[in-house]
Amino acid sequence: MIGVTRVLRGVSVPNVLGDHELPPEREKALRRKYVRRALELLQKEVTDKQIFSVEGS
Amino acid sequence: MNQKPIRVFHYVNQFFGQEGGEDKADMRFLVKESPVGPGKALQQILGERSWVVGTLICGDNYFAENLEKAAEEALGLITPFKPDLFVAGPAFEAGRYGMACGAVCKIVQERLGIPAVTGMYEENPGVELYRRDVYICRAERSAGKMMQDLTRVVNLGLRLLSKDEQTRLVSGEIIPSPFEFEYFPRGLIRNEFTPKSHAQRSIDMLMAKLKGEPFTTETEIPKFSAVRPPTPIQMLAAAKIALVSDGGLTFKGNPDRFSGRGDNGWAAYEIDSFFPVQGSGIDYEIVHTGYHPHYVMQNTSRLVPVDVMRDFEKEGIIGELYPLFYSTSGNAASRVCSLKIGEEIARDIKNRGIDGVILTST
Repeated sequence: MIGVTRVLRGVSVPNVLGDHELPPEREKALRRKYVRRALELLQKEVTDKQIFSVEGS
Repeated sequence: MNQKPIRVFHYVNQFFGQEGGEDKADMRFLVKESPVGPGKALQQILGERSWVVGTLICGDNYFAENLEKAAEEALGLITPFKPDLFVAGPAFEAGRYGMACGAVCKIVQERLGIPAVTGMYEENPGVELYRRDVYICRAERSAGKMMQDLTRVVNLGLRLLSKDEQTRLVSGEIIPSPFEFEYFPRGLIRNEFTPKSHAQRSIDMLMAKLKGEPFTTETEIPKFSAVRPPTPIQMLAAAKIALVSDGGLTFKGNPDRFSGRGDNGWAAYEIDSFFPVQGSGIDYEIVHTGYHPHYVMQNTSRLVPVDVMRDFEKEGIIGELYPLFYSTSGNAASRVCSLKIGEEIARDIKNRGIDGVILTST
């Protein structure tokens, strides 16, 4: 993991924070969810390298 | 056993050429038809089958101040001697001398097609600059172990000359092992014949490791240092958050000259003009050959989530979406380059008082 501690798994390689199969409003809601999670991680105490997923508090 | 003697030519600076010290650093080229200074030790090590047929002496400043021109001039003076082997220095820790040795070895081997070898201390700037082109043997900081340092150079030089010994390389080239001949690895990758298959060598290495016996790795795994996680943001509602991406997003026409693969630089774009809230705005381009850019080109927020971040700013969830977006293209970039880009962007971000970053990577 090369020493990075706050890693959030995105949706896919060519579509990190999106999903082309969803209609636009639902896709934007999905992006909100991912970015909210990223902002949460910025406020979270972390000690170990780990990959977080969008689920979980 | 009549073998033609090997003709060796030697390059030294003004000091080792016994012309003077710093006071003579500006001296121009001087040719002597015999070994001078360490050249005598060189002749001694070479023995009777090789002759040091000439020595070229030059002032460190004269050479270093115009490397290309001086190298050409040197070549012109060396060529008439028709050497079979060229030796420069050793330059030890002396920077200007190291540059001169590197430059003259490079031009001699390229234009005369003969092996050229020099010696330097590993911190000599000449090493980093010339190691890929020139055989540079390891040497001490100073001339204290001259005989040993010269012996290394001679051994490598003679090996480069000897066509009769078998080469272990598939290509048939004679590239001696940097470990065996103690020179700075040139970064060359070649296939070689080995008596044992890689499967056998792997098991041998593993067995040795399990038994606690010594073994030598064939390739080094780079060590990554652990980065202490920065302290969490206390007040997100007051925080400035910036967006960074290595997805290769830039202006159409690629004015910052990103490369789709390999090492790169980075650029910072003003969000308001790069991602306008309304209207067609700027034409984009993705310079990155590691992923299919189609979806991001349809909607750049899929890579750089400006739309939701603007909403979060309006909603007071974050203090501010910082008005700059940092972009680079990260596809098979080297570790060294990536570290450099990271440090530079981080420094810029820190100077601007940005509190946190969301970096999106494809």
